[in-house]
Amino acid sequence: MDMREEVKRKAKKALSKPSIYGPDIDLEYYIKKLERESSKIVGFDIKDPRVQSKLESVGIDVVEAERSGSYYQVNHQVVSYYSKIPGVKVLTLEEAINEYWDIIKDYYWKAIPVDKDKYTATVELYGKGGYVIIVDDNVKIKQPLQTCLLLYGHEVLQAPHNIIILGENAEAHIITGCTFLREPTGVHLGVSEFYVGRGSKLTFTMIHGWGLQQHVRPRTGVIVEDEGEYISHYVVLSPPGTLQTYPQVKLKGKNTRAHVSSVCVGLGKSVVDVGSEIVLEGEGASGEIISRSLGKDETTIIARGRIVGVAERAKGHLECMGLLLSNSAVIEAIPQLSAHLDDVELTHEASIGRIAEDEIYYLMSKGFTYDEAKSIIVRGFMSIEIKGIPKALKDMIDSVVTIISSKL
Amino acid sequence: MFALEVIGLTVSVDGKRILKNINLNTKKGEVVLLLGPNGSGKSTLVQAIIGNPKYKIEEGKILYYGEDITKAPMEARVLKGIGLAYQIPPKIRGVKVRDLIIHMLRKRGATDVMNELDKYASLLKVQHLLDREINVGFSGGEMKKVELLFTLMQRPKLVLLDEIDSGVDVENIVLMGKVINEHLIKNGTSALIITHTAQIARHIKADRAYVMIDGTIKCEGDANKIVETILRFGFERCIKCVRWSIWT
Repeated sequence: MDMREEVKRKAKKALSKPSIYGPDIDLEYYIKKLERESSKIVGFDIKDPRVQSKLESVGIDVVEAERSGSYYQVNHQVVSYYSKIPGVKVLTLEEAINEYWDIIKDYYWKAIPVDKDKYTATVELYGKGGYVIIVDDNVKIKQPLQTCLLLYGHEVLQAPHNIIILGENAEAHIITGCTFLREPTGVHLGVSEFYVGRGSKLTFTMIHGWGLQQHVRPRTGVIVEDEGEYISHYVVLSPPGTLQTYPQVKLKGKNTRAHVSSVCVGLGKSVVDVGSEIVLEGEGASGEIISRSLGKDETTIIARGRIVGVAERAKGHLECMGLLLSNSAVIEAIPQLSAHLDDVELTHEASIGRIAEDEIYYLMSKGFTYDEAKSIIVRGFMSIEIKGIPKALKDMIDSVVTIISSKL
Repeated sequence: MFALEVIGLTVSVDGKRILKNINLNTKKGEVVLLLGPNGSGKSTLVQAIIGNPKYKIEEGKILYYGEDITKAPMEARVLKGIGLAYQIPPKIRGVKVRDLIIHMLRKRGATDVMNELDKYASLLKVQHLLDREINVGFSGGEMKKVELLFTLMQRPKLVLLDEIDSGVDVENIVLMGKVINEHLIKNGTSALIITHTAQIARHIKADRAYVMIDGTIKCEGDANKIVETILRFGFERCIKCVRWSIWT
């Protein structure tokens, strides 16, 4: 296990390295707490109706009838996990390392450097749990797998390391819901490394419902091989106090495709710094980043997007739109395009504004009240047409978006 | 019985007076044209009738079937049975035509609307637009036809059509005229139809017409006579007409 020691050594060096984006969090405080915390979660019952309705709010099917498998983690503790489908493994990270190291070693910290910043380093050195999903060649999962990460209690640090590996010509849909119970103060870090094999397709839907006492720093890296496709949709239905994430998708293979979209709502004094990057490395790779930000109260939202084209016939499009619902909110859009060859085609559009009164009056002329008209416009603004996801997922996202827009 | 009575109406927008002392009416079941050159204030009048808060009523009254609706909120007027097809409707991103129509009708308690929607959409040849975002990438004619579709689905008792024919090709004007005659203006529905080109007037059986110039009504009379005069001589003739000046 020389490689693991090397990884740990690198992580230790990066333990105080801040992220280039987002407010800095004092992790040492939480790490100290962690060392004292007993591993057993007390008083948590997944069958509790209040717990279940919370889980449902972030897209988790508690009955699990329409899911191919599940993984639940509360704080540091893995609660349950299983797969219904032959050819699909759902494991904990520890189990995967111990029993499937021959497979895992080629993917462990390969999509994200462990010394990227103190958050990745902390996940390696102090993290526990995380799911590992391995989908064998030619296995196509119709119903989504779901994973759920919950924060519970006070001054909690949750730092799982997740890995999804799709073999060749495989297909999987993953839905991840992250939320909290009992208004904890705490930090949710999460490293996610996704590998999409040749000719495979992965759709990843993540729904975050946080409270303003929490800080969230997910770190995601995706590698897509020849003819592979990655579709992700991230919905922040209620923000934490601070959130910073910047998933990086590397379209390594020929004719690969990625569609990365996000809908973020900023409330209170939250600071939301959400971006995505797609690197078009393979010939004929194409990528699209779409983001919608809604700023209410005194929130600050920074919406980043970057597409880098370094391969022949690569194509990318970036669309970044913000809607301000208050005078004290700030939205900053930072779209970046970087082309390194002359037959790369990159485009972007960005806009930030308020709801146009004329649109409200127009809808009122169809019989809606002022508030109804406003919520129709907000609902429309948040709707992103995501091609290639199953209807059940689309319906779930639609209902989540409807709930958010009715509350704004 | 008047479906609509506008009495001594003066309207301003952003502090600027656009309409002065407008008197106009539409009887139950009557089809009335409102003609006038661009910028004469025709759209301001229908926006004031529907109750757009941007259009401030300084003086005068609006009666709908005898009820004073001058101060009624916009959506209340619509629910009472006034339908407006916009001249230039805005884009509503992320909202599909079909979804908004269903939402609009559910709000009124209508349940089975799909058959009717399909019927009218196919009459207007806009089935392909039902699952598109409202007015996003629509041509001028498509926008007008979708506005007409909304209005048809509302089953209004008083319909206001604002320049439904401008920017529309001849074939579509004929089509829209036919749909308006056969499906919109029936069972006692009244209509106030604004047009500056008078093109739609050739395809609709209108009873009376008004001519508006510079924010005032200059003329009122038989629809055919007025339309004929305007198509031959343009609005210049109206401005110079001494007989008609008694209206100012």
